[in-house]
Amino acid sequence: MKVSRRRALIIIATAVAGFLGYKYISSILYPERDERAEKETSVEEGATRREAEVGESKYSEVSVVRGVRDPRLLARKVVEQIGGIEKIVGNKDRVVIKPNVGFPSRDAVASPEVVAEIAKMVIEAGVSEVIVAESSVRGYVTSFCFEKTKYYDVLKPLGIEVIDLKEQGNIRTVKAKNTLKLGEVDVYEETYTADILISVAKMKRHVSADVTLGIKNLIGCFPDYEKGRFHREGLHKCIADIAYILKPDLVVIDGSKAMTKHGPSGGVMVEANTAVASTDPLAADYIAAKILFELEGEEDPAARAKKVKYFGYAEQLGVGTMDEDKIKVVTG
Amino acid sequence: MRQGIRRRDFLKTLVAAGIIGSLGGVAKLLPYRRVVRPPGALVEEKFLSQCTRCGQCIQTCVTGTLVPCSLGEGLLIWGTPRVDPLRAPCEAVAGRCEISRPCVENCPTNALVYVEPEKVKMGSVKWIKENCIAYRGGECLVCYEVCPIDGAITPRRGIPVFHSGKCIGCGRCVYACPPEPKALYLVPDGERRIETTR
Ligand code: SF4
Ligand code: SF4
Ligand code: SF4
Repeated sequence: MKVSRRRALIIIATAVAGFLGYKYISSILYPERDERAEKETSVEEGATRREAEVGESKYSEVSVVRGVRDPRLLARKVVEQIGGIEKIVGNKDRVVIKPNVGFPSRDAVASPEVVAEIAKMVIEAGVSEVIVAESSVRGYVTSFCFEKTKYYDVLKPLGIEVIDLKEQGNIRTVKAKNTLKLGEVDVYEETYTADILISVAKMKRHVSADVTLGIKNLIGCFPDYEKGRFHREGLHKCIADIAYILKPDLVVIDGSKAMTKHGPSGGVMVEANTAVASTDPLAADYIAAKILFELEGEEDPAARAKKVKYFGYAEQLGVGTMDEDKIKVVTG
Repeated sequence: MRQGIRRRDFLKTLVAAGIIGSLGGVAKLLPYRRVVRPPGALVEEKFLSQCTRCGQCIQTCVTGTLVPCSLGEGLLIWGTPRVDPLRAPCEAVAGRCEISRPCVENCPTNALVYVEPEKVKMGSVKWIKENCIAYRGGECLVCYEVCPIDGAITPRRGIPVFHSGKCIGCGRCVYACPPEPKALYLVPDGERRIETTR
């Protein structure tokens, strides 16, 4: 059985053509997913979400509640201790709550009950639009995390909109000045343009960031490709930058169950029944970090908290203070 | 009949040879590469005989991790599904596909079958330390952060240590690994394949 040269050539040519055609068709059928291209983007020049307040008070008030088991009560008390939510939301209309819902496990996220109570207070203060918005860590679907951690169950009956930013968010490119690393960065518009941004974090240790609290929680306000970039460019400086760019109006840290030793997931859970809140994001984080290290049995929790690298950078950028002489801790 | 089969085999070889000749680099991967299969795939031989290359699993996969193997990956596996963690991870464990898996449900020939999340093992991850941010002294450990399996990655002094026995090959760490080029890739090593269609 012989195959002529001509026939062999035809077979080869067909195979090559077939291969190239297949590549072409599969590139149409299975295009690379490019989140950036899928979303509308707009550009904001030289901006941060809000300017540093002029004539800021000489000290930062940090509210700490300990020993309250009911997460709703815990949330209400910790906010009331710094003068209540009305003082913060004023007559603004759009309040965005950014909870930490990075993973599909309850231990790793801010309790939906805490978020619900804060949302309720905001509504009671007369705000017309309250949104809960998050984008989970890479490789996890946010709506799945919301579902698994009971966010939909707890928040939807209250009529609060829960947004999966990866799916529903719009992107804004911010060109920030005076940052340490990030010149231009894409952020989810919903969080950036909020009249009031509230970061509701979980009290947790973190394997590369040391601790993840009110500031580090803001990483979920950025699309996945930016999250990756922060690690490439230097995580701690980028975390300080995003705190500077987004500067939340209020930070509430849920330590009803704190995650110690390891994190952001799979750490040792401690029933701490604690919450921390402040309008100064760094002061809130510093005090919460102290509590976290104290729970771990650290000898000098204050000194240890000061060692969190991005705290130092955030202070440098004017995000807040971790000088105890300038922090007034309010307890019940 | 015998003659027919021989002739077909001969033609196949010829086509393969043709591609080797024309496509240089790609051809090195011939005759066929071991790829990471979707969760619950039958043992390779059975899988290949049962999979009709219909592409249903690929089209219905919720994350988009499945892609058809290219001709360059082997004539034999051309068009069969493989997990591509650069596109997305597989959510059979700690994700949306724990209980019901579109890829499995839409497979018309049972080349893919349902296995409990605890039994899913599609392969394991390999580390290229030279590309790793943590190994080069930066702060990263994103792999550890996103891994759903306790003990598959353990950090040691800020650097990840991978335990292929525990890794299930979901691809989350590969997907999220930030450097370019990435420090991680997925291989079928250690995969647990299914003997029979139940
Ligand atoms: S289990 Fe889900 S994510 Fe994994 S291949 Fe099947 S459909 Fe895709
Ligand atoms: S995610 Fe990649 S770069 Fe980062 S520590 Fe893991 S392997 Fe290294
Ligand atoms: S090491 Fe990577 S591939 Fe393996 S189970 Fe963990 S995330 Fe999945």
